[in-house]
Amino acid sequence: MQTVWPLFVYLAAAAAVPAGMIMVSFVLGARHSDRATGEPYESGIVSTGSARLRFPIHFYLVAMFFVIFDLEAVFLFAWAVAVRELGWAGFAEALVFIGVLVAALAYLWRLGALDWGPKPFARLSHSRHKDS
Amino acid sequence: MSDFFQHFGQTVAFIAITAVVIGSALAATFAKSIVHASFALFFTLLGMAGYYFLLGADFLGITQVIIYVGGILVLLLFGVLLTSRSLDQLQIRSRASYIAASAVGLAVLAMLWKAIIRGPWQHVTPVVPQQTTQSLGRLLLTDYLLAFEFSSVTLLAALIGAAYIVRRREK
Amino acid sequence: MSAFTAQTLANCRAIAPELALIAALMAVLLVDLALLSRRSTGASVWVAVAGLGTAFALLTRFQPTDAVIFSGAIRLDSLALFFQKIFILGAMAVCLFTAANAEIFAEYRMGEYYALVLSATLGAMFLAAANDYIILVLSLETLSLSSYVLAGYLRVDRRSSEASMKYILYGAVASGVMLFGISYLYGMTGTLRIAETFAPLRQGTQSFTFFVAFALLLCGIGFKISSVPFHNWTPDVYEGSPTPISAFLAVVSKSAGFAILLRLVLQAGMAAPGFDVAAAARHLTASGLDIVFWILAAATMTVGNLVAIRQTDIKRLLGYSSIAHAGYLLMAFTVMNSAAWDAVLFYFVVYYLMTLGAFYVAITLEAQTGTTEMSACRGMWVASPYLVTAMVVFLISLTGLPPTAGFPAKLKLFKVLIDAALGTGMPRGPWFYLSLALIGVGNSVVSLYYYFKIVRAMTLERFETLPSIRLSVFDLAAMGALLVAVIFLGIYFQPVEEFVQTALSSLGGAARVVGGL
Repeated sequence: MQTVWPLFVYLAAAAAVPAGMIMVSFVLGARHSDRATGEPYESGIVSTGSARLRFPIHFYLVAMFFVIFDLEAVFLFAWAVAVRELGWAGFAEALVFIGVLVAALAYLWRLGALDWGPKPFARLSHSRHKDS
Repeated sequence: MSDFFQHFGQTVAFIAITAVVIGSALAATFAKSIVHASFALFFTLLGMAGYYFLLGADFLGITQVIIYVGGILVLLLFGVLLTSRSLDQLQIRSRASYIAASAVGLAVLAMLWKAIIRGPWQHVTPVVPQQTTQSLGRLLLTDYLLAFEFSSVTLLAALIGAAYIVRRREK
Repeated sequence: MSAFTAQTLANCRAIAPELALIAALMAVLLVDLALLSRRSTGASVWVAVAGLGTAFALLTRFQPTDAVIFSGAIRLDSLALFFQKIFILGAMAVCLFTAANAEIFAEYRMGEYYALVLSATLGAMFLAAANDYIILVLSLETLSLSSYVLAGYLRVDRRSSEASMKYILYGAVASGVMLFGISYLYGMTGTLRIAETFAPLRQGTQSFTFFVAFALLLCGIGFKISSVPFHNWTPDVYEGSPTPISAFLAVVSKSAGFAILLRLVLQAGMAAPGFDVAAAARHLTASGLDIVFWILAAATMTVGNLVAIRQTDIKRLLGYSSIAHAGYLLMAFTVMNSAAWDAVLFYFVVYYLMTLGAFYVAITLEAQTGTTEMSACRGMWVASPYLVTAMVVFLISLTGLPPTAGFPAKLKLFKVLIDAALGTGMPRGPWFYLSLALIGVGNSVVSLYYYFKIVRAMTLERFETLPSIRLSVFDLAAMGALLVAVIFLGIYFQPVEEFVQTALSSLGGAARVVGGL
C-alpha cells in the first residue's frame, strides 16, 4: 500500500492544475460586459433556436444495442483473462454465449435494424411493399 | 507510517466519494430540468465506481464505468432528447403529494438506517485479491456457468424486444 | 474429458426442457427471417408450439427427484417440475389462442411475439427452479422484460403502449427494491444460496435487518403476484395488453410469482433431501410472518373484489378478479402446513383452466367485436349461446360454486383454514384462521355479484343490434375442452389430486398429505 501515495500526489496535481488555470485567468483576465458577452459564440453568427431538437428514434435503438453488446464485451473480457486456465471447456462455453448473441446480431442485421438512413427498417418495409 | 497513509488515504477517498454520490443523488432528485438530473446522475454512477475501486474490486469498477456511465447514461440522455420538450421541466404535482412523498421517503430512510446500523453484517478481513478479473472469469465459466449462459438469452430477448418496439409500422 | 465438463453435460441433460425452449426460440427467429417478406405468422406459431410440446414431453420423462445442479444454481425438485409443466401448458394455450384469433394482431408481424412468449416462459421455468438469487433475478428479469414488450405489442394502440409503460415503471421499481433486499441478505450471510440466507430464521437469530430484507424481497414478489399494495398496475395492464397476453400474465406470470414465493417460504425449513414443511412453518410463524400473510390475503381479496364491482370492461374486471384470486391463494400462506400447499397447488391447476377459459371468451370478443366492454356483449345470448354458456360456467367456477372445478379448489383452501382453527397445537388461536376464512367467504359472495354482471349483460339486458360472432372450429374446440375440464374436474378431481401429490412428493418426509377433501 506504500505505493499508493504517488496516486494521491497525482490526483492533487491533476486537481491543482485546472484549478490554478481558472484562478489565474480569473485574477488576471480582463473583465467587460457587452451585449454579446453571454452568447455562446461571442464573435460568431448569432445562434437561433434551442439546442434541443427531437432525435429520430433510431438513435435510441443504436444506443440500446450498444449497451447490450457492451455488456457482452465485459463478460467476454473476464473470460479472456482467464482463458488459459479455463481451457477448451471454457472456450466451448464462451462459444455458446457468443453464438446466442451472434444469432441476435444476424437477426437484427437481416431485419434491417442496423441500416442507417432516413428509413429505418427499409429492408423490411420494402420487401413487404413489394409483396402486397 | 505506511499504515497511517493507507488509512488516511482510504478515509479521505471514502468521504470524498460519499460527498459526491450523495450530493449528486440529491441534485438528481431535486433538479428542475430532466437534463440536469441526468447529468447529476452521471456523478452518482461514477461515485459508485469509485466505491468499487476503493474496495479493490477493480473489474467491477471498470464494468460500472463502461456499462453505467458509458452506456446506460447515454441511453438516458438519448431518451431525454427523444421526448418532447414539454416534459423538460419536471414538476411536482402539488404540495400535498410533495409532503406525502417526503414523508414516505423519510420513513423508508429511517427504516433502512436502523437496518444498516443494527445489521449483523458479515465481516470479512479485507484482502485485496491480486487478480479479480481472472478469478471472476473463472467463476463465471464454472460455478456461475448457468447464469452466464442464461444472461445471453436474457440479452437476446431484450434485443428482440428493443428492435420490435422501435420499428415503424409495417403496413 | 474433465470431470467438470462431464458434470456440465450431465447438468445440461437435466435442463433439457429449457434447452428445447431456447432452441425453439432460435428456430422462431430463423423462420421469421427466412420468411421475412411473406407472412411468417403461420409458421412461427407451429415452431413455438412444437418447441413447447417438446419441452413438455421432456418434462414428463423426469422422475420427481430433488437434484441441485449447476453448482447449486438450480434445484430440480417435484415442485419445480409441477410449475414448469403448468407454465408450458399455459404458454401453449396462449400461443394457440393467439393464432386462432389473429384478427387482434392483424397489423403486426408475429415472429417476435412467439419468440418473446417463449423467452418469458423460459424465464418462468428457471424461476420455478431457482436455488440462488442470481438465477432468481435473471429469470425474473427475463420473464419481466419479455412481458413488458408483449404488453405493448399493439404499438399503434395507445392503450397497449400505456400498459407497457406502466408495467415497466412498476416492474423496474419492484425489481430494484427486491435487489436491495437481496443485497442485505447477502451482506448478513455472505452467500447467495436462497436456503442459506434464511439461516438466521432457522437458528432463531433473525434481526430487524433480516426482516427489512425479507420485506423488501416480498415487495418484488408481491408485484408479480399482484398482491395489495403492489396491485395497481394489474387492471391497467390487463386492459391495455392484447388479450392473449393478459391471459399469459394472469396465469403464467402470476403462478411464477407464487412458485418463487412458495419456494422462499419452504426454504425456511431445510431438510436433506427436500424441505421440512413443519419446521418452515414453525420458524416463519415464530417471526410473525403468518400475520403478514393474513393482512396481505385479507387486503388483497377485499380490494380486488370491491373494486371489481364497479368495472364495466371484462378484461379490467378479470384483472381485479385475478387480484382477488391472489388473495385467496395467500390465505393458505397463513397456515403453511402440507395440506395448505396441497390446496395451493390444486387451486393453481383449476385456476389455470377457468382463467384461461374466461380469457378465451374475452379474446374471442376482442377479435370479433373489437371491444371487451360489457355493454358490447348485449344480446350475446342470441348471437352465440355456446359462448355465453361457456362464460357462465367459467364464471361459476371462478366464484367457486358447484358443479365446477372451482368448488373443490376453493373448498380445499377454506378447509385448510377451518382445520387450522379447529386443530390443536396451532400457533395462533382459532379466530385468527376463522376470521380470515369468513373474510374469504364474504369476498366470494361479493365476487358472485360482479361475475353475474357479465352474465346479465350477455343474457338479460336489452340490445339494439345483434353482436356478430362467428366461432371457428378451434374456438369451439378450445372452449369446449376447457368447459369439459372445468365441469369434469368439479365432479371427479382425483387426477388433479394425484398430480398435486406428485408435486409435493419431494418436499421431504413430513409433506405427505392424505387425499380427499
